[in-house]
Amino acid sequence: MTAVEDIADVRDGLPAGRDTVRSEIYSDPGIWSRERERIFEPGWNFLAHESEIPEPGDFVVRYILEDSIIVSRGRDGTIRAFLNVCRHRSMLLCRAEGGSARKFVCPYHGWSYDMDGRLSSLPLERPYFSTSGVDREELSLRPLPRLGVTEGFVFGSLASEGEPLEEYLGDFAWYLAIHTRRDPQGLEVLGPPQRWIVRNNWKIGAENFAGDSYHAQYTHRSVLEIGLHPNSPKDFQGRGKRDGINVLAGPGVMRLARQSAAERGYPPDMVDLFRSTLPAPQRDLLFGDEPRWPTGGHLFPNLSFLNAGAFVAERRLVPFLNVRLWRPLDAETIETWSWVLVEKSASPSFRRDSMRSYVLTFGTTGTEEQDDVENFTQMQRGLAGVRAKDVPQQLIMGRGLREEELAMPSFGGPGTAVATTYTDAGLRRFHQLWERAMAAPPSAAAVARPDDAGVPA
Amino acid sequence: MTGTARAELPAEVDLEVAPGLETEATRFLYREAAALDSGNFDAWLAMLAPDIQYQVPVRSTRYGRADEEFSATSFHFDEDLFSLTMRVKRLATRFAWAEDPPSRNRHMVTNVLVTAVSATGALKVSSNLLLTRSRFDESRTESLSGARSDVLERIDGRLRLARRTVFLDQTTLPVGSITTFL
Ligand code: FES
Ligand SMILES: [Fe+2]
Repeated sequence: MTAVEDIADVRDGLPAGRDTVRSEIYSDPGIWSRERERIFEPGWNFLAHESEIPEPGDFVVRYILEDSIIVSRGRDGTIRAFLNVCRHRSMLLCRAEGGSARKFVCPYHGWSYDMDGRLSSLPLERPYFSTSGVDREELSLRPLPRLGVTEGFVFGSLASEGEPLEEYLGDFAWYLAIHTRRDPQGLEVLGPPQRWIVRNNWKIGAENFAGDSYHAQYTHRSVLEIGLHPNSPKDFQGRGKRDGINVLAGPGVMRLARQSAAERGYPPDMVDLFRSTLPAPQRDLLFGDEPRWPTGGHLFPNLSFLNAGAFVAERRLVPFLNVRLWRPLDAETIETWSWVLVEKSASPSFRRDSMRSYVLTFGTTGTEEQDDVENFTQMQRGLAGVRAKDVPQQLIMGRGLREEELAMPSFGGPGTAVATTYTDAGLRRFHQLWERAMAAPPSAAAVARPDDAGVPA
Repeated sequence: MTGTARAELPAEVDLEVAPGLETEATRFLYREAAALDSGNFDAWLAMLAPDIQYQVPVRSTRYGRADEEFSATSFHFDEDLFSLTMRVKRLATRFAWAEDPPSRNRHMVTNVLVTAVSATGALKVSSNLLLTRSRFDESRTESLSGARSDVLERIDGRLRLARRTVFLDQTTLPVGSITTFL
């Protein structure tokens, strides 16, 4: 298949060549209950970065839907995940969000569990439960049905059957590696995530990161006007220098700027480190004659990436790497979890500046995210009406562009590269993945892959 | 992960001097709140020391001591005068959608205590903050609460905010965004 055919394929990614989406999917209770069953319960959900629990005994509490999950590092250094539910009477066992512990003791009757999840003791065991004691194995914490760790990213699934994580990630793993394999020591989190409640459907945030480069020129016009970035408003017009490359890869999307790591704000020592550390294929793509650098993307269903930056002092650009989870609480509310990651070799001053660059633009107080949240939540309000739900979503941007202009036959990475980010190709890919997952029979625990047979041609 | 919430709890101060200083500090904090709530952000910037350090660390629930709940590396705000000025400049553009139409933000400042006085007359001040935000025609009010720990310095005879740390009560913030200053 040629790149042009690939693009045509993506353009027809929504069933029957549609480029509109029904607006009821952002609030309908039936859709939400089907999403739970077809997407979040069987799928791979991001839980944690391994650097959040570096030492034996470290743990964090995370969620898949309403299931509270302890992700811990055992004495043997292995990462495990358990339902955070006491095996006696189902009390929420761990009531902290994280920390370090030798055991978890349930406050109700005092059953205690070690960091490997084994029931280690219970008060009055003999003779009141049994003269020979209870079956410790039988009453150990329930392991999360599936756990997968790749490139330091820990994912879990509530379904015991399904596609292995690596298979699920497919071509997206290649782009994840651009972030995780540019420092010989890998990445680590800069502390715990920001968590906050936003009143919009989870797909609205996901779509924004999956493919809405279009919004930046207007939603974020305030930060362009004040000069918080090297970009000016005119960079966003036509084929301005901010126009990048949109890569559809496996169950995700990654955008690349036509800019070098240095232009994105990385200091010379870090640029040298990246160039000498990245695997050859990724290095060739990023450090070739035409430099590239990732700017952000999305992994279906609800994990987004952002490698952006801002001035933290007069004309001093500092980049940050942000990973965020749009955790749905109900059809119309999410809890955003947002981590800042940094290369482990980064200097103390880079770490501090990177966090400062992030909070100035994104997260709970970010000058860009404030306006994203405004728009997401008012979009949710706009969608509330009965007749408003008859007004479909228009994912039509990029349809009119000539295919030969968009084809990138010599692009050096897997997936389908589209030579502009001013296209709804990423949103259409998101909805292709969504519709396929939603159509999957409930017994099929795997979330549909985009690349297997049955992609509408 | 370390924080200083416990260390910032009120220390003994000279009760002879405290009442007058507390009145002065309280008046400063009330004027600051009025500037913020009326959208007079330039007046607010003028109340800051040039080397201000302004931080709101991320909190996460931990067993044991509350002072271990605040991150030393992860923040909601980690600002200096440059970044605070950029935030104010943004609000003054015609494109700051999250504050246009303006929110009704209200800072309720209470429990003001001067906890230390330096030789140069700088005041260490603790207070409580309740911030409410109302928006559009929505009857729902969003709120955040926390403890502030401030240092007010005397510059040219006037108090200026030189250091602020806000220890929020919430770990999961019940607000879509924070569009003002805490
Ligand atoms: S419910 Fe946990 S010990 Fe009884
Ligand atoms: Fe945005």
